[in-house]
Formats: sequence, C-alpha cells, structure tokens
Amino acid sequence: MSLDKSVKSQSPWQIGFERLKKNRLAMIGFTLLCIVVTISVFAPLLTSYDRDAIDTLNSYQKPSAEHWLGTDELGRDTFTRLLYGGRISLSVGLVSTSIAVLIGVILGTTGGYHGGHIDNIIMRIVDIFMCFPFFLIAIVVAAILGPSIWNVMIISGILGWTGIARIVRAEVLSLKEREFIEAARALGLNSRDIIIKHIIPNIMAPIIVYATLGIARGILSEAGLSFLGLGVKPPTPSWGNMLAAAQSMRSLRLHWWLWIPPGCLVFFMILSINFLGDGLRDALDPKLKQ
Amino acid sequence: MYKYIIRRLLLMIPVLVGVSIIIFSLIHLAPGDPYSAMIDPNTPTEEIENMLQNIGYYDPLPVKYTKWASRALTGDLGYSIRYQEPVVDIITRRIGNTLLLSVLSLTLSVVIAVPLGVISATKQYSKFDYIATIFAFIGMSLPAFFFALLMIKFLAFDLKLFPISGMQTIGSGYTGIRLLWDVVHHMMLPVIVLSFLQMASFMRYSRSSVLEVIKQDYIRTARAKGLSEKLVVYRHALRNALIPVITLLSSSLGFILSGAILTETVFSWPGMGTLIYQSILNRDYPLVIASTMLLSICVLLANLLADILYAVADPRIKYN
Repeated sequence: MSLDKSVKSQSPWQIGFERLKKNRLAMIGFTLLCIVVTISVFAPLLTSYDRDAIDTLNSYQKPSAEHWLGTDELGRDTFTRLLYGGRISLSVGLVSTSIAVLIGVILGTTGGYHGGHIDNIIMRIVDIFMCFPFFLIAIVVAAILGPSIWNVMIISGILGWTGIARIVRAEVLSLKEREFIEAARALGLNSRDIIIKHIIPNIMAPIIVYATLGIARGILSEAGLSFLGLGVKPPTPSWGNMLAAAQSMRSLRLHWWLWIPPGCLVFFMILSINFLGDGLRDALDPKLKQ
Repeated sequence: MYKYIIRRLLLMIPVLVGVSIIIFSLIHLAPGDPYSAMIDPNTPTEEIENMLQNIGYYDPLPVKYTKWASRALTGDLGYSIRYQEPVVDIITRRIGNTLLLSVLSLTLSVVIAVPLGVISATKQYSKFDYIATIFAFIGMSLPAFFFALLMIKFLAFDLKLFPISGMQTIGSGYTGIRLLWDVVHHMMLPVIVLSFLQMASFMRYSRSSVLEVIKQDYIRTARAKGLSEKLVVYRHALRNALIPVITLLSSSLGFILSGAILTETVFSWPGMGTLIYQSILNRDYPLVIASTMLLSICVLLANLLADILYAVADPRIKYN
C-alpha cells in the first residue's frame, strides 16, 4: 500500500480549523464579523458625507435616498457616523482585549509557574477583582477619569483580565509538571524563556478562545459606558454614544433611525463573536467545553 | 465542613479590605470636592477652609480610610451628601425594590429556562434544540439596555401596553389592590428584559450539564436495566445535572444586583442600580462607597453559598 501524498500529517491547528469550517454558526459569525470590519475600515469610500459635517437645516431627517439612515439633531448623516463609529467600537474591543490578555497571561503564567507566595498574592488580587461588580466599578472609574476613548479601553482591559489569568494559571499548573518542561529546565533555560517559548505556545488555544469572547465584552462595555455619557466623547461617533440619542424621550419615541441601527450593530457584532468564540472553543479546545 | 465555612469567611476579610481600599482611594482621587455644591457661594473662603479642615477633608488618605473603616465597622456608613440623611436609611429604602425585581426575574428565568435546557439536551440536534440554541445566543448577545429601549419604544410608546418608566403612576393616589396592580404593571417590562437575558445562560448551562451526565456509566446502566427514557432522564440524570445550575444561580445573584444598573436606569426603577448611578454622577461619595461595598459583600457571600450548596448537593465533593 502506497502512502497517498495528499494525506499529509496535520498540525493540531489545522485539525482545529478544519473542524471550525464545518461549524455553520461559527462561519456565519466569522463572515458577519469580516463584513462589518471591512465596511468600517473602508468607511470613507462608502459614503460621500463628512463624518462631522453639520447641516442644521436638515436635522432629524427621516431615512431617504439621500440620507440612508436619516440625520441626527445637527443634521449629520447617521449612516456615515455608523460606519465611522464601527471603527471606534471595534478598536475599543480589540485594544481592551489586548490589555486584558497581556495582564492575564503575564500574571497567570507567573503565578502558575512559580507557585508559592507569588501565586498566593496574585490569586488574592484575582479574588478582589472578581468580586467587583464589573459595570459598577467601570462607571465609578469612568466618572473619575472622565469620558474618553482611551479610558474606556483601559477600564475594560484592567477589569477584564481575571478570567484569563485563572484559566492560564490552571493550564500552567498542569503543564509545568510535564517532561518536556522538566527537560527544558534541565537544559538550563531560565524561567522566562521556558514560559515564553514552551508554555505559552501550548496554551494558545484557551487564550484565543477567551480573547475572542473578550472582544465582545469590550464592545459591550463601550456601548454601555458611552450610552451613559461616560465613554467615547462626541463628536467622535461610536455605537455607544450614538445609542445615547435614546436617552432623550423624544428621540426614543420618534427618531428610531438614530438609535436602533447602532444598537442592532452592537447586537450583531456580539452575536457573531459569540458564535465564532463558541465554535473556536469546540474546535480548538474540547476540554474547555462546558 | 464548618471548618471550611469559617476559613472561607475569614478569607473574605482581606479581600473585603482590599476592595474597600481600592474603591476608597479611587473615589478620593477624583478631582474637586463634593461639598462645593452644598455651600452658599457667599460664604467667606476662610470659613469654608475651616469647615473642610474640621470634617477632615485635608487628612491624608490613609487617615481618612482608617476613620471611615472604624466607623463602618460599627455600622455607621456615613451621611449622604445629596440626600442629607444617613446612607443606611437610603439603602434600606431602595434595596427592597431591587430585590423585588431581581428575585422575580431570577425565579422566572430558572423556571422557564431549566426545563427548556433539559428538553433541548434530550433532543440534541433536533429542530427544537437548534431554535433554543439560537434563542440562547440572542439572549447572551443582546445588550440589556438596548433590549430595554426597544421594549419601551415598541410596547410602551407605540402599543401603549405598559407604562414607560418608574414604579408607580405619579400622583395617582392608588391604594390597596389598585396600587398593587399599578406596581405590577410597571414591573412587567423590566422583569421581561432581565429574565429573558438570564434565561439564555441558564438554558445553555442546564443543556450542557445534562448532555455531560447522560454520557456517564450509571446512565447506561439505568438504560440497560430497561428503564424508560423518561425515567432515565428525569429520575436519574436530572438530579446530578442540576448541581452545576446551583452554582450559576448563586453567582448570578451578584451579577443581577450590579448588572441591573443599566436596566434600572433605563426604566427609572427606584432601586440600587439607579441609586448608585445617580450617586456617582452627584459625587455622593459616602453613598457610592457604601453601596459598592454592600454589593461586593453580596457577591462574596453568593460565591460562598454556591460552594456550600454544591457540597451539600453532591456528596462526592469534599472540602478540606
């Protein structure tokens, strides 16, 4: 029997992505995500209006052929602001997740690998952060630091690292007893190299899954904080501060085109990320499946 | 077991101290003093300075914290700057409204979602399972406040089925059964919103838990004995499958108390969420610190309760 050339050995990653491709919901989520990212990135090509161009004669226009999603109280084109707002909301999601992953992985690996007092202290800090009611503290901090896009990113990142630190620590605890880590230690590698070169590549799967779901959380906290006026400051549009139009009873009742489209986009983004994250979990890390 | 509970309670102390220090410092780092709004602008500056000196406004942070903590331990949580009355009184007045909302929506979501999750698991990959899964994902992804806004717009404004906000019709002077109905009527939309969103996670959780238990050997034995599928699932599997749901139930207690901030604010429900949000905006620091601490204690106790219930329900779990 000859070995067929097409039967190549597959890396765990390839197997995972093969599995992911078969998950219909995950692929729907992935496609939606790509579409929204693309239209936000290429926003200037898709609209002829200026993001902040004020046209007070045409305020609160209903959706029409001219203004696809109408205009807001200053006569700015809602559709245009929605596209640009996507850039802001998505980057808040990405940056805050990166902060959370960075802190979580550093503290999780340090605690798990070294154990002892360091681990104890880190886990107590995790306990403290975990009993913070997330949104409550986010509002307190946002009110103190003042509304700005950077503050939203930092708040959501700093409050979001505990989950990933716990998972990473648990994975490291079981990994560090394995032979290949012992071999690396016997070869004289220092602990930083062992963690970076041998441990982290082996725990990428749960990190990726968690980071994906974290982006949804970032988008959601941006929306919530900006809705309360504690997030991204106008005139920069974000989906959250566009939703804040609904704070006014009149707009809530009469001007649906101002707040329903950004709300739907937030919803669809989180939904797609949840689909994709769930699919990634099934595909990459069956252990994590609840 | 008792030893375990006591140890956990003792461990709560450093965590609570940590939480209070962080919240306390955060709030005192905020620029500006909250008293300026209370003082008559014609008061001479020296007098203001004197007064601020007297109430300890210029004390270093550690001194302030020690003062606050020693008073808090005796149950004195301070005096609300905005409402001009003791913080404890305000909180006791508000917390009932929040409990009403959260207990009701939690019960409702468990009663509906857990059976749906179990059915979904027993009919895995069926149409029912597919639809239930999609609904669960929608519930998990829909921002609570956006859902609340949609409900207000369509059900309250357009169809006029429900009142728009608040807890009672202002100035109605209803009493007895009319008042009760009025409150229930106001409560419906927030309860619908909160329970729909929580149902999602309960459904997913009970579904995956049943799926896990069904794979186990003792279920195969039960089937091999010739028991009907109904008996196997509802008598043998369900008991064990529901144990993790207990954990979720307790942990969502903490979530519900704080996660309802936006929902309560959108509906102007006079509960803890609205209170906290407004006191943050008003820089009513004593109130912010007290309510944040209270919520943190609730979260910690709920977590402990989850672990204890878990051990009670499942004798295989041993704490040492």
